[in-house]
Amino acid sequence: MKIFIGKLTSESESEQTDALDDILHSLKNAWTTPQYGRNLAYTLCDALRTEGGLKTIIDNSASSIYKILLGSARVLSQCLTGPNRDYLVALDDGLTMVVEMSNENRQDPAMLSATTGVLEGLFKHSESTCRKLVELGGLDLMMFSCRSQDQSTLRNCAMGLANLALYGSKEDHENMLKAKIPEWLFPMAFSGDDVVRYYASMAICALTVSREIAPLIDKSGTMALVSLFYLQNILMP
Amino acid sequence: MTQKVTSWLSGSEFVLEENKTNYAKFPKTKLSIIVSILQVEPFILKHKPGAFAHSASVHFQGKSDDWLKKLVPMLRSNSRQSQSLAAFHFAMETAVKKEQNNLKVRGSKGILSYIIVGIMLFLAINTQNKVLERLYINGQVRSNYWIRGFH
Repeated sequence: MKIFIGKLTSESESEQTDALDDILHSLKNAWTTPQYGRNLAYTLCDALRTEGGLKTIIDNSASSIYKILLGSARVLSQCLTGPNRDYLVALDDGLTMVVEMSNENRQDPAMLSATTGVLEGLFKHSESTCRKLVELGGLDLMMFSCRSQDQSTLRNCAMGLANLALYGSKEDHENMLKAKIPEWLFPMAFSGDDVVRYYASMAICALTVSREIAPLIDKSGTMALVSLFYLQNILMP
Repeated sequence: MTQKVTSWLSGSEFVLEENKTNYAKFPKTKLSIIVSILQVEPFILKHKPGAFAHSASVHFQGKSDDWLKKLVPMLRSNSRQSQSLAAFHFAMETAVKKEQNNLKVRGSKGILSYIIVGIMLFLAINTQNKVLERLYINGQVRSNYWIRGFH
């Protein structure tokens, strides 16, 4: 990992992109390792932060070179463990840079897939971070990505909105309703992909926990459908 | 148009093909919702919490303690749907954490208790125990009650 991180600051563009690919590959392998994957991934992510790689990757959010921008966004989406989220949020303009990069490249499917992954991770940082992300346009981006046909983007979108529903404040929930998020989540709750379906339903359910906004969600009729999905799962012999 | 119906309907593009027609009619009649549910049913019957945890890489490592704490209010929700989903998730999470040999959730005795509650809720429905099921359906779930009963 140290070797890859060292190459991130290379003057050669191809070395940088190769290093980003290698880091991404290592992180993905770690996250998909059964049983010990969590510890392994956390160790790699800690190394990325302590060796200065995370700072470089965040700075790359303003890169004008597409391959570096995409590679950095992809790595960022895979390395947002708790301590790394803290690091990014504590940086001056860290959140601003990331959300700006996300919004500026929203028309690019590959970038959208990566940046929704980044936002998904950041939405589970804290209430204040959720607030700032919504103010910066993070919710708009998630709403935009609901229209995607890319599985990875939709998964990030569903999980991100579930995280926002769980971590966000009452004000964020109201913003979600104003943006008609439950209506966007509705078709996702019937997606052909189980993960999208699961987290879209999770987001709707998390929103209902707030009593003040529950009647508005009930009006959409979505909860009745969510109900059957999970009761059928649980009732299975 | 003021309700952005056209935009909303665009979402049906990624709904299962068989549901598309009925789902697209949702704004017109509730009957279509029922039809859509019936069509989805065979698909969703495939899932069990433990198997679901292994079905996609996003579930492989489970969720953080912090995330699980945020889910706890759903167990106490008045909404049966939310309770069901939270119970399902805690059941899935327990399967993941058991594999990781990490059933002890750091920093909070409460979370572990709620995982037990989640499992109890899951078992109550799964075993078709009518008494437990009735209590569950009536929303008479109280964590302390269940934990005492469990032990």
